[in-house]
Amino acid sequence: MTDFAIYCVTMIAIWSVLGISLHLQFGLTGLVNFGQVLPFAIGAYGAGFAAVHGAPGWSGWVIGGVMAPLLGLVVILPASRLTQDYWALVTLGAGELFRLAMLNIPGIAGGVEGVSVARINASGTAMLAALALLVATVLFARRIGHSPLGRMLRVLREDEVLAATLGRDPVRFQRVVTAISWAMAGLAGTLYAHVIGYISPSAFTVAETFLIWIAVVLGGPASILGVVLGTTIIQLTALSTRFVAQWSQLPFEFVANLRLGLFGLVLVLVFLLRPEGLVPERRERVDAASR
Amino acid sequence: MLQAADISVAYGGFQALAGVSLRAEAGSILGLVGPNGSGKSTLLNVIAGVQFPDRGSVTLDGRTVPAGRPELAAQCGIGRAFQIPRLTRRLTVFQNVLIGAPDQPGERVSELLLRPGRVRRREREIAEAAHAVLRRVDLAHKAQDYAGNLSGGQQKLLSLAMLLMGHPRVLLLDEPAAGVNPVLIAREIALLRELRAERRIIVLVEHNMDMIADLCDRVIVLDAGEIIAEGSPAAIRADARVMRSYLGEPA
Amino acid sequence: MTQILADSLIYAAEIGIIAMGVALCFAILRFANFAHVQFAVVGAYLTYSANRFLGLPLVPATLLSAVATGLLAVGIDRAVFARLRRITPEGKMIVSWGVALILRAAIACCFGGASRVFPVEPAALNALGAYFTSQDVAVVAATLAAILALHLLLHRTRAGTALRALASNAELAETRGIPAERMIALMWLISAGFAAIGGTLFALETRLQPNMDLIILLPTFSAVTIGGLDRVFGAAIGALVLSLAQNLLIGVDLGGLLGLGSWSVPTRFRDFIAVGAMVLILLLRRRTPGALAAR
Repeated sequence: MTDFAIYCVTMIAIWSVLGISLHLQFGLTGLVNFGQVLPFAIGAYGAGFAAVHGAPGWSGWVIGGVMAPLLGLVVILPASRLTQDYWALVTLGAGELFRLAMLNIPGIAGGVEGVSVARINASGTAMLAALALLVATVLFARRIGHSPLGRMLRVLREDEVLAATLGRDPVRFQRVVTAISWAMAGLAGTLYAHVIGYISPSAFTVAETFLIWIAVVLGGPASILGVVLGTTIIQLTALSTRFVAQWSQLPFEFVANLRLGLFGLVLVLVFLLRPEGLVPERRERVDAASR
Repeated sequence: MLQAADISVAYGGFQALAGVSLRAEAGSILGLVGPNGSGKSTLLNVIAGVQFPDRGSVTLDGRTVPAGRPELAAQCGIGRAFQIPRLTRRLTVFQNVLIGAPDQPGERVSELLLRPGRVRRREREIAEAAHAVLRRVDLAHKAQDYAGNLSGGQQKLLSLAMLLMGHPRVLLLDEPAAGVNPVLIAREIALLRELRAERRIIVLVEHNMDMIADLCDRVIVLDAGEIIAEGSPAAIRADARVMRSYLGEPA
Repeated sequence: MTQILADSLIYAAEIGIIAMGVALCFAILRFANFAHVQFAVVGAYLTYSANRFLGLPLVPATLLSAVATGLLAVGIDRAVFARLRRITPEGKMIVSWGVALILRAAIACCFGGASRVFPVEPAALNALGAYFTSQDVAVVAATLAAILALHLLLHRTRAGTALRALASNAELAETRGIPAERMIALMWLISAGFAAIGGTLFALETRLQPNMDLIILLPTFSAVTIGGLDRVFGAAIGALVLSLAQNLLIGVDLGGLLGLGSWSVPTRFRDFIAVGAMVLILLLRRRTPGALAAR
């Protein structure tokens, strides 16, 4: 049972990092990215690529931490030209293109069968690594959120033209946020691969992107605490499917589908009843400098 | 001196501006009047870089202002306040004024991480400047309110305050008096006179003819995208063409 | 070559009719509805049920299913989308994903995961060097009939004119007295009805299974995008273009053409082609002039 608890904490930590990456992009800056699974997958496949092609273990981390944000900078390029919803579809497409490429080109990293990756055998170590990544991510995100940078991101969220007429280049800010956010997701992906010990394309579909979205929308996109809370709820629900099936004597498939429906219901209800999420954005009534 | 030469803008088949030129000297207030849809806001948008013109150019003190790039126009010293004030409703009045200040090292990640002291110092400077500006427009008592909760007139003053934080050479104001109560209008007029005395250039779009007459050194009248009259406020008032095109002007 | 054309036409018919519904929804409500493919799956299952459990022949079963799915869509609009008319298009997309999940779960829980096949035995046919079946002919004919019917509706009836007015300028249409909410309900009826028909056709041609939605999703959205997102008949053309592109790239010996030895794009890259086309078309969109000022 403790093993399972450790596994839960590890997974919650990893997916919370993903949630925070979306918090930076969407909660603070207003960028709607339907492909957040992409940097996650790049990080994970970085580890896979290293394993398949005999590259040293740390190269997976470099791919996750460096290549993911680089690709993010490519994906953000058309964002200033397209309206938000079209860009969202582009990101969706980008994520799918990556998954389909990994699926259909076996030479890269195992194709449909996936590939095994060096696994962190001690589950305690894995948990500590995940928590360390989470703490670093939280601290970094807080620093940004409480800074003039965070303030300007919130302006961009509401009115890009206003920011521009105040002399700021919206594209530069979007690039910075994307790079940071995708680096976080990439590192989470590499860690994920080493925790699970195996990666395959089926783990990085559109459904996974929306799993992050549901957690973020539920918890409150503009709040780090909210995002972690939302992730905890969603992940615990997902991870407990097995137990619910056992306890209720219903087939696993059935319960898994019910869970999916429940997530959909949560998404709809949040939009209808409490759009700010469980933890709304905090009013920063007093700026430190104004005291 | 601000100069806009031969500005033309068309949307689809509709000609919003046709070869419009204007000039404004430092330390002057230029009025821009005309019926609704005559292209006044479009002209301001072009000067501020918010709108890309089909033809024409804008220069400030001889240097060309890049077209269609509002952030570059702002960096050249052009400030724009909009007819419907653009603010960040979810931030406080004070925070809105803070963002008006350019050159904030705290907006760069490298500075945040490596030089937090410098970031803090600059924040303090900006905060003091913000307090001063809020006092100048008499919104200091509203500093901690959400910008979204202000009245229309107060939002216009806030816009002005945000603009002032950038020490703009040029202020482009779009109907600063619309929907504002007379007391605040009087305050705006006083403020604009101060700004003129500071040798800034102000282009003022307004329907409030008293304000125009009171403040402007020169007036340009637009109708259907073209200039139909130019001159002192008194001359404009007496111009028959202006009478014909302009609605609601008491003789 | 005629085989490629025939195959493309058949596949385009199945996808096109679903894509038209997405385009119609986009034209009226201005967002890409992720739940749309679920309507197709629901429709397919309802047709199957009507056919199998109510003993209805295929055509009336399909029509009944189309009506029922249409009504379901209207109900969902009332419950969810109608209350969210004012949120951003991206927000509507996210909510539609939630609706999609609910529908998907409902279908899977009701019908289970096993795939089923419609009890049909189509006659094999041969013409102009291509092999197809009588069912394939029926599928294409059904789609053409649906396109014709929609065209008549949109251009020859008052309701259709109202819909088109709503699509081109919603504010103006409302000031002219066009009852927006009722027209939106009509839109859902048509859109989801088409989805149901398309889903049925798809299930007839392949098989009926709950993960049909994933198989249909990418090609459908790609077709809609190629067709211009809010262009209803463009979506049908988009489906044809996509289908042809896929089959040509996969069927033609590209290596032979380039003199590099026999090679063609492997079949499994179908989806890749679909998504690639979608992303490419989106990236090539010109920014509308004055967009910045209008924001």
